[in-house]
Amino acid sequence: MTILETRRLTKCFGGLTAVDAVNLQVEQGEIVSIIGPNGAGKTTYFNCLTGIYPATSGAILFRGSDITNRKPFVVTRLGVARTFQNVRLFAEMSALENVMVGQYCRTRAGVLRGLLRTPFARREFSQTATHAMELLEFVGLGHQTHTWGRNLAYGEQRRLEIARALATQPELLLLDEPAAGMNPQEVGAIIELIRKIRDQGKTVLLIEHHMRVVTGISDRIVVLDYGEKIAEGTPKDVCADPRVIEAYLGKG
Amino acid sequence: MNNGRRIVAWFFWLALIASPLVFVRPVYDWANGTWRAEFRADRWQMLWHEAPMWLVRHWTDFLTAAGLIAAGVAISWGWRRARPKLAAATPWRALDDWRTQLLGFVGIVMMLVLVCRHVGDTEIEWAVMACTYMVLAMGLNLTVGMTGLLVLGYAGFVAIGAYTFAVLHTQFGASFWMALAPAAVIGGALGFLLGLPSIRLRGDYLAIVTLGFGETVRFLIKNVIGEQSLVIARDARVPSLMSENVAWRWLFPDGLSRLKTELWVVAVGVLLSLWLVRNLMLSRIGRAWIAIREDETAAAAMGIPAVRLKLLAFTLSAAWAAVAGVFYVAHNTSANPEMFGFSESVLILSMVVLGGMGSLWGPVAGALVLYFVPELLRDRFPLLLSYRPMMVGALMVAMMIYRPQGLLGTLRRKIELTADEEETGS
Repeated sequence: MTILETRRLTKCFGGLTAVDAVNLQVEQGEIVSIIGPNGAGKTTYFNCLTGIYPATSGAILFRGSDITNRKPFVVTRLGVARTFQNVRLFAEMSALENVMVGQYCRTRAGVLRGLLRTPFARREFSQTATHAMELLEFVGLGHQTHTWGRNLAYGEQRRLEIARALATQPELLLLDEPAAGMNPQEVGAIIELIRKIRDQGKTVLLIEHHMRVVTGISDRIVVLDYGEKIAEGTPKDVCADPRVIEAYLGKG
Repeated sequence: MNNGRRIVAWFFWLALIASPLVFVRPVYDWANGTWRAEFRADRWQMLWHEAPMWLVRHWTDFLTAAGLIAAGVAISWGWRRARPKLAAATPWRALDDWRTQLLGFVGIVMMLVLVCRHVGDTEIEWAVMACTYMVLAMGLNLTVGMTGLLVLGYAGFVAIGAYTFAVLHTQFGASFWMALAPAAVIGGALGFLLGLPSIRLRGDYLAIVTLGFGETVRFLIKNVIGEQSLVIARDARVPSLMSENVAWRWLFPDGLSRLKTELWVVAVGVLLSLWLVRNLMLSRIGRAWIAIREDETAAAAMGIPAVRLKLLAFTLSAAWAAVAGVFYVAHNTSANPEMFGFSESVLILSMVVLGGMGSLWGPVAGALVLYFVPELLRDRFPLLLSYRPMMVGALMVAMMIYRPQGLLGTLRRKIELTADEEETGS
């Protein structure tokens, strides 16, 4: 079953076409990587998917329904969560609170219940906190519950972002360079984590430069260059594709 | 035993050994050229006759003071013992520091009892105003501190509440209690209406819009209702409680005057505000507000409808101000447009910033420092009065340099640190 489909998705900034008519289909339970040289439009593509940028033309279908140009919070509520390339945690909130914020769209206590802290709100609060603890344990941050987002180590911040995204209970998880700036050991842990997320039945679409991650876990790889999709296929095929080699290394 | 306790113990033993000296006076005997001890019968008599009477007369004071100290010791001691266990079992308890807050609550109530029994009307007057500012600062803290929206015209919302009461009173004879709900509704509605077009603006632009709003409200009142004061009649203000009620005489021998009743009403308002803000901070709405303050784009990507929530903060904060405005007018006995100028907005904002933006007790501390303390110093140092704005300005500059997070702004950081220590310790 196709969970995400983009049809000729295009995004222009003035005269610059950052994403150029990209067609893509992602099946349920897949891990798909998007690679490409710097400035190829990968992050812009993500921003269009999650509604942060409105698309210039084309369509985005999530589980068969059109989510083109919906507001970011609506897209998240429908089941698409993301992390950011430059980590964007809530700096002055603890790790636990960061993950609890992620559960906003899956909880219901409104302002009156919150103001009066009714039994319902209290129950929901402890459920939210328990679930947040589980997610922190899941990504390996159980020991940093009350550390401010700002004070976490870089690798931990990245994992906390993943936990926060998982807290929105997504069907599709978009990871923007989850292994950037990590040492080999941390990269191994991230690969393991992404596998675990997939094994829970979630679909993962990731942008990555780190070839060990890309070739290690991807079912499929999509290559973007100057906003266009230039190749798609299994890791082996894509690495051998002359157009991909040309995009990365230049013409011989 | 640490050093501090050792010193206290030394003083204790010294006092115990020296205590008989209270009843003995050394006298130099000129005839014999020696010292002689003279027994002070008058003091001895006083100990057995006067002191018990004194204790009986002031027993409620002693009980209150003893209760205050006992509650403080018990709560802080119990909290210190219980906390590591709680932190291990349910880690999110660190977010909800209700024991410390309960201690603060108990302390405020007991202080009120003492104040009502012993303090003169001038000081109570200051306390009433300080409490009003606490409520206002807590309301402003919802937008400025938690959601990160800079509002510079908060006095405008206070004016709306105040004039809702004043007009309802002069036109329909409404009393203080009857005006509270309409003021909250009208204040909230106007906050919502102001927010609709302006909430999408970020940072400084929103500040300018709200600044304009505050001034507009003042001039609108001047032109529509008039520049003269609207007076609130005696029977529409906060009534004097317990003047005839004998049952409470044991606690308040002189009854409660109108001013003292006002102090109780506004103090309940402060406690209620503290409770509501604390609830909000633990609620998903409060967490979403803080998330918006920290990073709006990331918050939106986490499924938070930022515009809607910012509007909510705006509305709630405006309703809060309007309710406080009703009390302000009832206390002041009249409403005048000049009471709600830009300097009032700045004063309330300074309280929030000085106390610590986004913290629960910060606005309380800010109101104490910026209103109560200057009033206390006024009589003793009359010169200070003329330099008050300058000193407040200097204080704010110093705060921004040495403690930008405000007086109580580190509470959240403190929770984090102690929780970490416990985890590594166990």
